[in-house]
Amino acid sequence: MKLSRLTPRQLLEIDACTRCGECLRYCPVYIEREEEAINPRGKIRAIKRFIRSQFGIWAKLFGPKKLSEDQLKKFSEMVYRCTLCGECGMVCPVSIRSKDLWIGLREVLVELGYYPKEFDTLKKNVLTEHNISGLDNEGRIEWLEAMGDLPEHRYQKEKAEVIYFVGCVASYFPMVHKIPQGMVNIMRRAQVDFALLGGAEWCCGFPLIGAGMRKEAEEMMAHNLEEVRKKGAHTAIFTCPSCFHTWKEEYHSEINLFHFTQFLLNLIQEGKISFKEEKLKVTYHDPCDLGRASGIYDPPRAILRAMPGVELVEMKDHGPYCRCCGGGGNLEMIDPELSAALAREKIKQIQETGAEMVVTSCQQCIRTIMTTARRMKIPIKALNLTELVLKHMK
Amino acid sequence: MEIEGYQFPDDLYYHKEHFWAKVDGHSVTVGTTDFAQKLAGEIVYVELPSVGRSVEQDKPCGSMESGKWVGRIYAPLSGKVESINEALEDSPELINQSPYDKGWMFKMTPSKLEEELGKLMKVGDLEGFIKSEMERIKKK
Repeated sequence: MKLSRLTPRQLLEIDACTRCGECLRYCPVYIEREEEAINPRGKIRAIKRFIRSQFGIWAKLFGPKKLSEDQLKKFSEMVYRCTLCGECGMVCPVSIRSKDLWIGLREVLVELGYYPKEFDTLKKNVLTEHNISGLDNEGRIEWLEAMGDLPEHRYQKEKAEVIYFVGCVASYFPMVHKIPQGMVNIMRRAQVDFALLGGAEWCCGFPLIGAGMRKEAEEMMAHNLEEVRKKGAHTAIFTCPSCFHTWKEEYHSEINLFHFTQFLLNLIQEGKISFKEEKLKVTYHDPCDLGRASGIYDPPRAILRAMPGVELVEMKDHGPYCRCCGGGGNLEMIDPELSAALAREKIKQIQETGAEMVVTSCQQCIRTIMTTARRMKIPIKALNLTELVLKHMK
Repeated sequence: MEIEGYQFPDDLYYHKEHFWAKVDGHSVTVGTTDFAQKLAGEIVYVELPSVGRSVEQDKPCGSMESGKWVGRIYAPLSGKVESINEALEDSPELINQSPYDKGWMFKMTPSKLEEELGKLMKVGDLEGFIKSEMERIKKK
């Protein structure tokens, strides 16, 4: 086993795990399955064992033990059955940045060829079509067609101050087309000078990074950055928390990056958006890549507070402790049952609040929650904050 | 008729993107095939073309998604959409349960019926096509 994909810090972190088990109280996968092998502590224990068998004192004396196919397969299952929600790292008493570690381990496994075969399709789609769906990339803005009263440039102007980076899921999956449609409508009513990249927008690279294929994501990142620069934009905004987080952490650009919740809050504070009064009781779900990964908890809540008549009731686990909906880490692709089981737990917490709807700021959370609710015939309503803002705008 | 375990009613016309058209006088009903619904898995959302919209043969006019898959809805014929199956909004799984009956997608008035029907397949043309599609998918 090669460890070149892991940083010296990560190797130290593996050694630093005291097996205290604090992470077990928060890992949604462990809470659901109760299997030691797939919890954060179990994963670190397994990698420690591998490292010892390859580089420990006995390996030095008698040579490294060859890892069996079965061992590697099992280890791969452990590492990929995770939503990358990051809650384990947040509560770790010795500050192990576990989410980065899980991604590093996935990179090791990809190098060894032990990763879920579903990721080959993902890789092929992203590298050939430049989006996760595998559909023609020129069709990225088909959701625009359903909107009336479009200007001639269809928001694909040559130059603009702001680029709205839509992301693959909201571009292609019809259940969440209302998110980009809502965002465009809000911006045109608030008179924001913005443009879409259309077919020139490529996958941000996040699904590949999450799969352990960081190298393949580099081409995507270089292309997107170049396209935004060509438009002369100083700002890029995102409705997808994962695209936003990836741009922030991986793109290293001079462009100002805003998640839409930050951007809309600015517009509200500048008086460009105001709301009519409407009584509504909502709860808010913090998407993992927006909350724990990017530290954005208050802007969406401040927007809800700015809406007269809207009452926010928090879920039992919220803010930094918000339980993942099950839609992260590409888990839906490899273990849809586990992903749905996590969504059921989320739905339970939503229902306990007595709110009329759950509001969130992520398209994938909406898909995961609503798909499970529909399958189970649970009558709950999940809305993206863009839709609620548009509905309540004066 | 059954081909490789998939049902294909005899009285329909079939489009190469796995949609069917049922011609009834001046009205055409459109839906997706048993083959496509099984391949897609449980459909969880459908976006149908709006009523009054003109659609063009072979061009996408909507989309549908299952848990991990998304695909376009292609118009098997050109014409104007007259009505949509509103039941699919709350119960998209009807496409899986009853692809040729309760899971119909939209009804349209065709504009070039005679000319375009010739480009569609009848059930007798399907056997080789479905086998080649299965091979193509296996290779993917």
